[in-house]
Amino acid sequence: MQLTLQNLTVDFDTLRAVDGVSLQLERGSIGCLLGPSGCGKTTVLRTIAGFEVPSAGTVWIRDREVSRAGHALPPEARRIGMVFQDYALFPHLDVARNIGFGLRGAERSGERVEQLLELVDMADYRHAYPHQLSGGQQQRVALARAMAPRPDLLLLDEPFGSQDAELREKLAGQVRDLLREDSATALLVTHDQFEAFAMADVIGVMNRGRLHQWDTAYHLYHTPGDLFVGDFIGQGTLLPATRVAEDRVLTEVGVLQGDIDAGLEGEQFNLLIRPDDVIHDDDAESKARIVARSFRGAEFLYTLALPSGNRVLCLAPSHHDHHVGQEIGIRLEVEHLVLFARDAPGGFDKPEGQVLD
Amino acid sequence: MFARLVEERAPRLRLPGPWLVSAVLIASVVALPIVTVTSFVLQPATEVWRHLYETVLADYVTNSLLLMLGVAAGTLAMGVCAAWLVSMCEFPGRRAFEWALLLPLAMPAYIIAYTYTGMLDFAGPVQSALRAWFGWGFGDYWFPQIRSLPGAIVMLSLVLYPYVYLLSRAAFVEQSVCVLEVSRTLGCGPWRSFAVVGIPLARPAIIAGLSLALMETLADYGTVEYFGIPTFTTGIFRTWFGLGDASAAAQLSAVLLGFVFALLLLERWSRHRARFHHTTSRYRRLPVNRLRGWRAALATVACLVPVTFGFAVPALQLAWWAQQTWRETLDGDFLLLAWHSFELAGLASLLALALAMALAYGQRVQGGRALAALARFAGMGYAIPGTVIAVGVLIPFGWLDNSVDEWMRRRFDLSTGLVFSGTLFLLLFAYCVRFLAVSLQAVEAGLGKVKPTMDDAARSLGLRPSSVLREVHLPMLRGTLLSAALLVFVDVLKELPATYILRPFNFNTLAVRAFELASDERLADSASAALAIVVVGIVPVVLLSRMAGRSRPGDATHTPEPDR
Repeated sequence: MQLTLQNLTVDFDTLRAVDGVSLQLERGSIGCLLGPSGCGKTTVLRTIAGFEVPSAGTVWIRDREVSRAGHALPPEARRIGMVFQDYALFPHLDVARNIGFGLRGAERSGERVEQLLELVDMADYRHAYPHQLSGGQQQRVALARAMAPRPDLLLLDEPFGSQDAELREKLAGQVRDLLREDSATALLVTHDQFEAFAMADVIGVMNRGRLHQWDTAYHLYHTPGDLFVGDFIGQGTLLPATRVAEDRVLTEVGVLQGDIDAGLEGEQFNLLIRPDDVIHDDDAESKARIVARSFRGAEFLYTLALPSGNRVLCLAPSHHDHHVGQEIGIRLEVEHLVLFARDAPGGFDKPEGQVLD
Repeated sequence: MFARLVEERAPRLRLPGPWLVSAVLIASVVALPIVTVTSFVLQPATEVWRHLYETVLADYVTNSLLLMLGVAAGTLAMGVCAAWLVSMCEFPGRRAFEWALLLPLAMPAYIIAYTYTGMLDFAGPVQSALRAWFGWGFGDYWFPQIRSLPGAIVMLSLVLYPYVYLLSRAAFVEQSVCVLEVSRTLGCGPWRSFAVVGIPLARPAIIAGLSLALMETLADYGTVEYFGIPTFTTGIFRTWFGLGDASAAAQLSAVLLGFVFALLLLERWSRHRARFHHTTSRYRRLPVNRLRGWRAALATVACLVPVTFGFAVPALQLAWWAQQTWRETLDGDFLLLAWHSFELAGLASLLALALAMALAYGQRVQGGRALAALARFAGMGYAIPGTVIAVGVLIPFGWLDNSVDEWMRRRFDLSTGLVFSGTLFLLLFAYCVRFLAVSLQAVEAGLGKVKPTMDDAARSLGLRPSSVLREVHLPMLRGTLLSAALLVFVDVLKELPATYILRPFNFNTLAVRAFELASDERLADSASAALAIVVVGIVPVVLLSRMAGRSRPGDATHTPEPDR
């Protein structure tokens, strides 16, 4: 394992910023901590880097213990690289010397710097100074600088936070390819789920200092472990559902069949319905009235009210142009039946059927 | 395995204790003259004080107030108009005026005062020319008396308006275009927009500049002394050296300090308000009103007048005099004077820089309210007039010297003399009190550019804290440190009253010599020394104008910051 956190806890005076986080990151893979601002994700990153000292728990980098309660190896002795949100390029050094900063002696202007200049496509700008570069170029230089000493672990703090939303996904893809090419192990922090999806092999969803789920993007979306994750990742609504068999539940839209988490006990649940679970079908028996719609190019996202008043979201191809107030036929196709106890504690306490995003 | 683990929290360069201790020591340097002077308020009034109170105190107060009132009017009129014109309009010579309007800063008030006296006196070139043209004789005509209160007001206004100009221009230039444009869309013309939006938004900055100019007015000694106007500074000087009453001089100083404190509050308050006046952070080039015809000519004249009379005319006169006398005045004595001045200014600027670094790094490394408050306090010394500082440090150190001397004599039959008050020590001490603020401001601004994440980045790349200092901070701060030292250097070179009072016996500087020669009516002989001071004084003007030019975000000359 390249990185292991065990029960990591960080306190700032009376505030518990990180509360018992455990995770593992394999060599050569890219992990991501995802969560709303103030959830403690950046503190986890800074603790791994050695800028903060844990009050409990342990950090191992490449099976070497680097932090434990009250102790921390200084950052310069950890063989890590870090990309900061504001890039923190040294304004008095040009691009090549910024990249070579973490190298020693003759290496500072050697082959590795050339290699990275090529890798991040900045060879033409080797003598430019940071203030002469665009935001995206600065970001690539910051990345190259962190990668240059071939760190055991690369840490990226909101690396695309200051970019346009459109650029972000593109840059995230580019950076992922760069990291893969250098077979680097990286952990990044972001509040943007699409950025996380675009870059990471494993994603951890954090809230209020706790790590809720450490999983692939697919599983976070389709089998969220709790209400917070279900709420934070993707869109969806909750419908009251009664379990009628091993793999079946009864809802107001009919009986649904699908996988159900084996350990689940009880009868009365709330069922998570994603917009892509709701199929628009004029022949369907169940009808729902459109209360809002938003055009998304290839599709419409309709907000529908069921006869009971509960709401679901429906993604329909954009040639199905219906008006608000119209009734349309729907059926549900749910592969994984994600059920939450009716009284489940979670990140939200909205009434059933309310729209989550 | 944990051999290399550190015990404490590992973040930025972190050291305990010493930072706070040194900050307290530095702040007490500034506090010493203030505490000394104010402590005399509690002392019973002496005979001399009662005498002062009955005779001249009312004059001191009236004259100082009138002087402040006049200088306020003069600096506001020249400073705000000029700032408005160069930042909002386009007219012939605008770009040159942007920096040329700062030139009078290089001209110490006492020098401009006696230069104009030499020009406008009965025997001076102006009156002589008038008499020659019109065939007048003595007493045939009326000519304004330059050595008067109005004369002093004009002199001080001519050299102090750049404070108002500098701060109000910065405010105009930093104003978001958006608010001005909103005002335009709401139906106000460009001039009206400026009056109802531009000026009110800049008001805190204008007031801050004005209070700086008024502090300098209160601190002025050379001009009022030369013009024979009784004010606080000349009064303190006479009470101490003429009447020999240190305690009455200290009490006078305390009253003056009261005035200064009021100005200081005004300045702090308006700077504080200025922070809330930036409504948006979006900047674009200011819309330029291109002036034509008589309007353009008027604008050029409005900017030309302060530059001409505040700098060009007196500088030319000095150059003319120096040209006539340099053969006699530029001798070994002059070189010694110059060496003394440079030695003193160099030592003081290094000292002030070291103290400023200690305060600034203390705040960065350790942080906390106590350190910030101590730094703010230590930065207040610029407001204390040199005369007051001189009185405030001479009293305690004189007492210390005498006590040490007496004790040594009694104990070892050995006279130590005046260890502190008879040497450069006291002078350097006084300069640190007065000019620490200058270097502190520069160092803090420079250090602010080294973001904390840069420290973190350097450490994550394998540098120890000491290497971070060497490889990141030092190269980034080099320019800042140089200009901080330079600004103090020039201020010390120009400083008159504290130097005049505190210099060791037989130790003269350029400023003191120029003032002494001028007081003896040897104006032409003093010109070489004065011109040397003015020429060196141009250096910070160049620095200031370069800084001011880069201050505006969104300006073409401004280097782009990373977008965020």
